[in-house]
Amino acid sequence: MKSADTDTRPWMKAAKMRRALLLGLIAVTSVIASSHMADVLPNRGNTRLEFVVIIVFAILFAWISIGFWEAMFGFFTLTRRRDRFSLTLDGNSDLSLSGSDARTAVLFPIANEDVDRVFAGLRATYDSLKQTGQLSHFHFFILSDTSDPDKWVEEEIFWAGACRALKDRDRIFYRRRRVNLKRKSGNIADFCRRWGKDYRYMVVMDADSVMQGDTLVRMVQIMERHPTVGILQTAPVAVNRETPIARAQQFANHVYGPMFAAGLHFIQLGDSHFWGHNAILRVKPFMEHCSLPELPGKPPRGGYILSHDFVEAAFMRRGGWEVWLAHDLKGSYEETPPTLLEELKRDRRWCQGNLQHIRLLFTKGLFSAHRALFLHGAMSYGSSLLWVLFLALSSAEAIVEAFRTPIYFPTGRALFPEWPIWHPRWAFTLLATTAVVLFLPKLLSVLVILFKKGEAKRFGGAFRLFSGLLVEVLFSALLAPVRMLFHSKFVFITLLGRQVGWGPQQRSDLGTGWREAFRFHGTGMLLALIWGTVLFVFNRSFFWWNTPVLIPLLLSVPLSVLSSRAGLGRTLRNMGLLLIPEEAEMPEELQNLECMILQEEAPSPLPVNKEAGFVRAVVDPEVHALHLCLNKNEGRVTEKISARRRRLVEKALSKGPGELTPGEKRELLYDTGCLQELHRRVWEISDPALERQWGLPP
Amino acid sequence: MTVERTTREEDWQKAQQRLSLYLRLMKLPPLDSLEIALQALKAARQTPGGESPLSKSMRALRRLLSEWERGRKQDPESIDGFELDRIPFPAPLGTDHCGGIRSRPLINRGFMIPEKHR
Repeated sequence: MKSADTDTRPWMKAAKMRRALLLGLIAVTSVIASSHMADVLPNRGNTRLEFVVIIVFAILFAWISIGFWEAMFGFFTLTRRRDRFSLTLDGNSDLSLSGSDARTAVLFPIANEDVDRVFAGLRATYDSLKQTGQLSHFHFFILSDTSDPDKWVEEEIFWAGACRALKDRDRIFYRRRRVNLKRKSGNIADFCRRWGKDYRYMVVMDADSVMQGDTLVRMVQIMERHPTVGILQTAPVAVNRETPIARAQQFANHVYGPMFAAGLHFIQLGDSHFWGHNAILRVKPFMEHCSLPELPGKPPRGGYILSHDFVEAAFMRRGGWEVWLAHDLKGSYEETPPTLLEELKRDRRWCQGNLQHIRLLFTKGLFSAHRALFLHGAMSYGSSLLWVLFLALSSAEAIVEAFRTPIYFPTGRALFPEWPIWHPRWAFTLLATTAVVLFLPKLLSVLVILFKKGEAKRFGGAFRLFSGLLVEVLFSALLAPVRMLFHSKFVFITLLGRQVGWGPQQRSDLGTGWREAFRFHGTGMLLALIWGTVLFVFNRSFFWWNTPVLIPLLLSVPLSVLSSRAGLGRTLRNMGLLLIPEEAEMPEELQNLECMILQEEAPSPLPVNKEAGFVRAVVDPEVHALHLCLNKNEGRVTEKISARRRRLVEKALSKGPGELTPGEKRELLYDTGCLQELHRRVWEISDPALERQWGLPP
Repeated sequence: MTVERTTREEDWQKAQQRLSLYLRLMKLPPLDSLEIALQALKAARQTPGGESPLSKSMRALRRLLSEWERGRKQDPESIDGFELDRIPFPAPLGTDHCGGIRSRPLINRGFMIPEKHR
């Protein structure tokens, strides 16, 4: 494969021109906006404070212009219907891989996820693929890094159940890693080391991903037709959520997403992103080029690379393989976080991962497009800190102006005084310009839908589409200051060198409680109250300018709670607001998914909660046998470990499973000898209290 | 004496219920299940020693299940479709073959070596 310097593929010239155009547009609009900002300020930028305000404003305006101009390019692409470099253009209309000997592994890397949901997604994808008649080219892998002992056993049960239900003994595989080395990237790398050589491609899914069978086949066809492509990323659409905040994001994803994705494709072409899931990768170059290094130093800035996907894309490209975004390929689904708090927990992880990428900015051999993507990723969160800085500086300026004695003749002897004045008309102009930059792309996205025949109907009609737009804009405007505050905090914490936990996300529609919301948002509310009070006292006009930021911060607790209520989301849906096409006409794979999630497990004669996996592995002979089959005995262990495990067995038998810690349960699950002994002796328990704990009827 | 006798009968009752539950959970063919339960109880009653009826019965059950399993292996015609997914007793450890379902393909080892960060 060619290096960055000598590579001259046809699309690369177009990419250079398009990116130069983008940079030019950003520069021009930012300079114009910044000069207006200078004119708005009382001293026209001639004080140190005002100068810094202008610089920060320029960076922020440039940042939001990136999204604006990308959206404009996307609008241009969608109105022309195609980009000549799109990989989905050519090719067969029939879904057949008959001429290909390629085998594809569909991977579900999971760690402590909702097991029900994971397997429902797998089965929906499997069924959809089966209908294409191309199933023989695919294998499915559940790659587990689960540490929760109950979920571990639950995964084994669901895996066996899925194989039986689908009557497929040789296509759906389950592997659980004992050591969670390098998290998800390590999980995938482990698959590659064990079985990568048997597959030409791998499709990486998320725990809540679903893909249509047709789409999977198309992705393989595209990879076969374009042998220089290393990664093909789809643009998954968000579905299946009921909470108001998730519905707003689903709506935004469906309405604005296609235009923004088309714009991204327009600029990036073969130097695109990889988002870590709902994408197909060519295994051999991935193994050769995409093994991630450990960064020197301690986490969070050093250690293992957390946000691995961006880096893998950059390394793949460095190896000479292209990375493309199939922005117009449908049938790829994901789910968004159901509450604001879950979204912020996810963002905390992503923020740490993205800031780590700054360490890789000057890595040898990377294409400049990917260096720019690293910077872009860091700025996704860094911009929030800049926004806070801008608000702080402008507030400081406003307060200082309230106390400052104007200097009418700053340059010494002059005929006429210089009046320090605010220009509210220019301020409104600047505000309007910023609003255009932020909201025009959304309006254009809606127009694209309206002008496409029959498309608006899928969103409930033109009126509901516009109403949805207004509701979504209101949501975004209310939540943006809250997100800004938290993202700033995450950036600050990461820059200080404090690490972030990487726990599993809650993916189901459970709401946020008032107490939890107050714990998270209370400090932000207090800060907003203090800031607002100071502005109100010292510079009332500036206070009113900042109410769009102050009010949401003061209301962040009720916003967080109410936006997490699935009931409220269903009310919005019944009113016809924030509808998405999959709700008007649900695709078959999503219908199957819903059926499988709602399907109840057959009742067991054993009165044990189905989530009590450890108890089931000890008591239920079928589950016990399954676990023994799936787990080799460890072999010899030291006398100390052996003695500790014997004590654990006695503890479990004398006090019950509730007295064991998750670590102790895991240890017993690893030791098949101890587990067999526990299984034997549990069935001989006659103490009624212990019988109850172990799920044995009295 | 009568109280002691009643208690012993209750113990055997409990043992019988426990055996039945275990065999139900193993999903053996119903007739085989009943027969094994009966044989296990009889064998337990004839076993000398001070152990509880429950312990004796479960031990007898395990022995009989192993014998039953061996008997079925020698007579392939006795295995019908319903048994294809059943894991034999006692379960084979770490075979990756769970009742005829393969949990992993054969390993075909490759390399993914991270380079040092430069």
